[in-house]
This record gives sequence, structure tokens and C-alpha cells, in this order.
Amino acid sequence: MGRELVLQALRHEQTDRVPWVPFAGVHAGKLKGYTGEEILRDPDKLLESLLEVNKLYMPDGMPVMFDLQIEAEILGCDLLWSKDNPPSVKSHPLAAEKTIPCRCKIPTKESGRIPMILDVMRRLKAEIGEKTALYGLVCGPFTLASHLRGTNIFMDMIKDPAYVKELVDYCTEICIQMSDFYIEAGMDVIAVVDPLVSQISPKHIEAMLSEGFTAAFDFIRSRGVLSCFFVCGNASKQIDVMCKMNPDGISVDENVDLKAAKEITDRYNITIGGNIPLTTTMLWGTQQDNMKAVIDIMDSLDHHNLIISPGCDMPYSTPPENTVAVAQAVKNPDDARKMIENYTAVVDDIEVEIPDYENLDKVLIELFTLDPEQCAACTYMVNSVTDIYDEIKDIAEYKVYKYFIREDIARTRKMGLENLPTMCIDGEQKWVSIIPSKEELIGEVRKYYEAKR
Amino acid sequence: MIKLLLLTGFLGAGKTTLLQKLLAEFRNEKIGVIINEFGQAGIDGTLVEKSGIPLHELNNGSIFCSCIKENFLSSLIALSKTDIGYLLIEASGLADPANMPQILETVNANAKRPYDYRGSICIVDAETFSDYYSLLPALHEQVARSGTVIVNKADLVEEGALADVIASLRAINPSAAIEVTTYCRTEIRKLVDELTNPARQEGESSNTPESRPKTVVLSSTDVLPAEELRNFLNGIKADAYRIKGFAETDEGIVYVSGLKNHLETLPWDGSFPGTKIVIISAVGIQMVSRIAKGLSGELKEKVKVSL
Repeated sequence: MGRELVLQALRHEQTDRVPWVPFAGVHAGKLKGYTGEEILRDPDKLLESLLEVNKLYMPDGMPVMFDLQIEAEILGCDLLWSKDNPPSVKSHPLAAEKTIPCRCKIPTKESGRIPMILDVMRRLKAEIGEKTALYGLVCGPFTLASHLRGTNIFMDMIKDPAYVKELVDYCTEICIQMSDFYIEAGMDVIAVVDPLVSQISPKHIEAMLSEGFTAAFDFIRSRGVLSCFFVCGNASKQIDVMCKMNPDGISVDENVDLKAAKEITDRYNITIGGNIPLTTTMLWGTQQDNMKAVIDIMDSLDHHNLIISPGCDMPYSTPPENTVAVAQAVKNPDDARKMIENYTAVVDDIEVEIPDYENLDKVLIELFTLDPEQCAACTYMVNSVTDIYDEIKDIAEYKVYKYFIREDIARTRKMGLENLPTMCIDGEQKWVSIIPSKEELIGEVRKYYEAKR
Repeated sequence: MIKLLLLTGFLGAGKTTLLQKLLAEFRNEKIGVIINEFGQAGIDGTLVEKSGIPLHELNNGSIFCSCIKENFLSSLIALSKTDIGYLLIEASGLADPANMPQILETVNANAKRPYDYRGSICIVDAETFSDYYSLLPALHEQVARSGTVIVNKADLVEEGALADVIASLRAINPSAAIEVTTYCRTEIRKLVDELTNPARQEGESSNTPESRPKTVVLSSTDVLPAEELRNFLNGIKADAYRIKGFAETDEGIVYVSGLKNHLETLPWDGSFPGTKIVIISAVGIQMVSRIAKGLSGELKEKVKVSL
């Protein structure tokens, strides 16, 4: 049975086949004609959509609600709702005051959207919980801290690490409290989802984040439930330090070389999940592309301690047939292998024009993102420019590219970029997955401007 | 007017013991009690439960911290509408009462019967005071703003060490009366009658949400193995400021009280709120990991960890 397969994999036991866990967040709504906002706010629509995911994609495990803004909303962040994405955070209550929120703000079962989520968890558990492992997703302590404090948190990490540690520990208390609620509601796996961890150096992670994350995973284990650490972005350098925090599993996206990462997770006997490319393959690819992506992963790795998943939350408009093809390939790899034997993926080459950087009047900052609203690391990279744009607007311009738009995918390829988000200045890669400080960014733009003159 | 007494002192110094003695001494008078604890679980409330006493429990922070100060004010105003003659307030272990005069000014403007602040009794643990004093600014304020300081657990320290503690206390607060006791044994009525309210400038409390220690609660609906429980708690006590609670064990119901190097489990025959042990961490969020790793065997099966 699927549920047992996921639990076995996360307990590091041998499995008969590799388990399949699709991350259908807002995409679940698409299957029933609902918007992202509708299913993230209406329990009946969410449940109906999740049951459709379960029927159509035959998952061994699945998340109930993929929304990293639930906790932030309760703590006073304003949200910007969207039809085809989870909401994004548009205001940061601690942006102007460097304080720790009151303990009285730690969510209760009555706070925000929690009653609705617990209701859906219980109903889904009753309907499919015996055969499918259910994942409760909580916002990781560092991403939550950044939701509260905004981009200032990156400067705080340099100037006031004690404050960041205190804020992350506070957010860990929230993470533990949310896990507690979800465990009580019957979740088999608690996933701590912290996309931003990929943006921080291992040294800073150990100084400010590790204790909190470790406490969260230890707490989940103490309750007899399994844990997973979801990250997105290029977390290759962070995998080792993430393993030391002792989760049962780690899940990564297409920015990470799964083979290299699995060598590290295997040393710690931690299960790894991933990493079917979200947009190029799941959203824009064909059924054969999707089968090939799965077979390539499965054929390049040892199947012990492995789960097949999309790299992160699936795009809203992912064609259902592509996900079905993934499910087929995971469950019947021999058939899939035959179907793609002579298939080579066709690269969708749209003509794009690369600017003549040298002859532009102003410096051009180009932000290549997965999705500037949905991917937290991308949001912070874009904000690092928009926050200071007033200071450089006379000498620079900026453009944002999104990896779910065909032209932008072609441009990203043509620029030879391998990881997102990446910031280029006048066509040169400057920051890959790392968010520059204000001083660093302004300094670099001025340097390019001087060179032009 | 309602006579108001504040009891301060670090975790485990003996505040609840003194409160119990005060309640026994004043059993024929109308008394109200406010108990302020850090954790969510009201352990002290169970310890002083007594029929007919209006008891307000304010948990999850210090009453002097902005986070629950509003609830504290509401409790004071509500109790002013009752017919009590005395109000005893047991502050949390890390309470900094610097802003007590300011709080009472606000309360008295809205109270049905005003409060007469008789002063604060600060209880100091003779054995641990010197260790914690430099670490925790609230301890300085507790001593500095008290009318009487009780140096408790005097039997646990050498004479020289006791003299050092007294000298430190004198330096912090030259005008306070100092009583040296064991198990808070003293002439309670006299202590209350002679209590003075030192005329000090009020200040800002150092209690902020940031200075609040992390607490972890262990609970269970099963009968726990007493020996394993003791071993486990002994293993983590060095990382805790305080361990306190009740547990149903195979040796009967026990009251658990731990402090730094001491841990005792005593038979308990009072009302039993269910197994609940509050641990106040001295190592921040890491306490969750220490507890999770320390629990094993039958105890791990039966104990639920929460915040």
C-alpha cells in the first residue's frame, strides 16, 4: 500500500518500489476548476480537489495544504492573494522594529485558517488516510522569520546574529506548535518547508538556524511521526548541514544535482526526494518528457532512501496528463522505459534578442527567477533591487524574467544560466541564489556605470 | 483598601512555599491570589488550591511584560470588585517588578476599591543566588525593589557563603529587612505587618518578550514508571532553570520539583490535575532536543512533549 511505502522509505527500510509523492498545492484546485485562493480558503473545495488528486495521480503520499503563508498571516503579515499561486506576503510587521513578537501570538487551534486546515486534514484522513501517507506542511522557522522581518533579516544576520537567532527560535516555537496540531489531526509526515535556507551559507546556518530546526525535527520524532525538510533553490552546498539537523527526509528541486546530493544524504542515512523540473518538464513538457525525467532520475540512483517528487509546489496549470505520465513512470518504469526508448526531448527554441549591453545608456540589472511571487528566494532577490531602486534609477534599469513564460525560459537558456534565481548586471552573472546586501548591489551598479562612461 | 503583597524570587527559591504559609496564616481573612507562571500549565494553582479563594492564574509570560500586562490589569480590576482584604501576588520567577507603582496607579484609577501596596517580599535561594545574579537582570530588580528579602535554604550552604549572599543583598538594597530561613520558616504575621515599601523611583521593567525563557510541557494520560521518570529528569535538570509538576506513577501520584542540582518527587494527596510537568529551559530551544533525545523506552511511549 502506498502509505506504507512512504513510511518505509522515510524509516530507511527497503521498499518494493520507489514511492511517488506529487506536491499538488494550488494545482489541486485546477483539477476541479477552482482558483488557488478558493481552495486555500474553502475547506470543501480543498477537500474535493485533494480527493481528485488522489484519484487521478495515485500518489503514495501527498500534502494537504501547500501554503507557506498560513503562519505569517496569523502573525500580522498582509497577504496578496492570487488565482493561480499561493498568496504572497506583502507586508512585514517587524520591518521597522527589531523586536520579538509576544508569545501570546503563537497560533492556537482557533487562529487564522488553522480550523479549516485541521478540518480538511481530519476528513481527508478518514477518506484516504489508510492508503495514502498524508503530509502536514509547516513554514520553516527561517522563512517565517523573513516573512516577519523582510529583507532586513539578511543585514541582521551580519550585524546582529543574536537577534536573528532569537527570532528564528521564536519561529521554531511556532513551527513546533503547528506540527503539534497537524500530528493530532492525523498527519503521517510533517514537512518543514524552508525555501530560503538555500540562500544562506552553511556557516551562518550553523550559527543561527541549526538549533531551531534540529529542535523541530526532534520534536516531530518524539511524537512518533516522520519528518521531512523541503528546500528549494540551489541547496547543493547546504545539504550537508541540513542532514546534521537530523530530519528523516530531505526534498530538493531541479537546481540540485540529485546524484551528488544523494551521496551526502546516504552518508547520514537520510531519505532524499526530488526533483522533476517544475516548469520546463511538468508545465511545458510533453508526457514523454515527464516519463523521461522520472526514468533518468530512477536509473541514475540507488532506490534505497529515495522518493520521487516534483521539485517543489507544482505550477497551477500543470497539464494533468503530464503528472499522470510521471505516476505511470514511477509505478511501471519498465513500460515507461520502452515508451521513451527512441525519444529525445525537443528544446522549445523561441527567438529572443539579447540586449547590446555595452551600448545601453544605463546599467541593466536582469533578474532571472523561477517565479517572483511564489518562490521566496526569488521574491527576496527582486526586492533587493526594488527596495533600493530609487537610489540608482538615474543610472540603472531592471527587468524581471519568469521561468514559467516560454520567452523567458528561452532567454534563460540563451544566457547559459543553470540556477535560479540569478541576478545579472549588463549580461554578466553576479549573484546566483545569493541575495546581495544593499551596499554591495549599489556599489556594483555604480562600478558598471562608471565603466560605461 | 485592599492590602497588596507581591512575592518575587527566582524559579525554585520557595515562592509557592511562602504563599502556602501565608494562606495558612491568613486562613480566617478574605484573601485573593494571583499566580503568574511562565508555562501554559498552571502547576502552582493546583498547589495553592483552596476552596473559596478567588484565584487568578496568569500564564505564558511575566505580568510585568507588555505581553500579558493587560490581563494582569484586568485581573486587578476584577478582584477590586470582590470583598477581599488582602491580595497576594506570586510573580513568575523572572518577573521584574520595576513598573509595579505605575501599574497600580492605572489600576487604582479604575478599581472599585483601591489597592494599598504594602510592598514586595523577595525570596532568594541561598545556594544558587550568586550563580544566577550576574546572568539575570531581573534578580537585581527583585531584590532592589523589595521591602523584605528572605534568604531561604540557608541549611544548604556554608556559613561563609551565606554571609557573602547577605553582603551582596545589602549592597543591592541597604534598606530591606533580611530574614534567613529554611523552608521559609518564619513568623509570617510579623513579616507582613512589618513589611515596608521602599521609596524607590519606579522604572521600566526589564521583562520583555525577548527575555522570556522557553518552556516545554510533558504530559501523559498513562501511569508512568517512577524510576525511569526520575532518571530522565535527573538527566536534564542541569539544563533547566526549573522543573515542576505532577505525575501519576507506578509509585502513586507525585509532586515533582527540580532545581539545578536537586530533584525531588514527593507523594501528593491533593487534587490532581493530570500528569503535567513544566520544564523551564536554561538552554533555549535546545531543550526540546535534549528532552526528545532523553526520553526512551516506556517513558517515550507514554509521554507527550509540547510547548
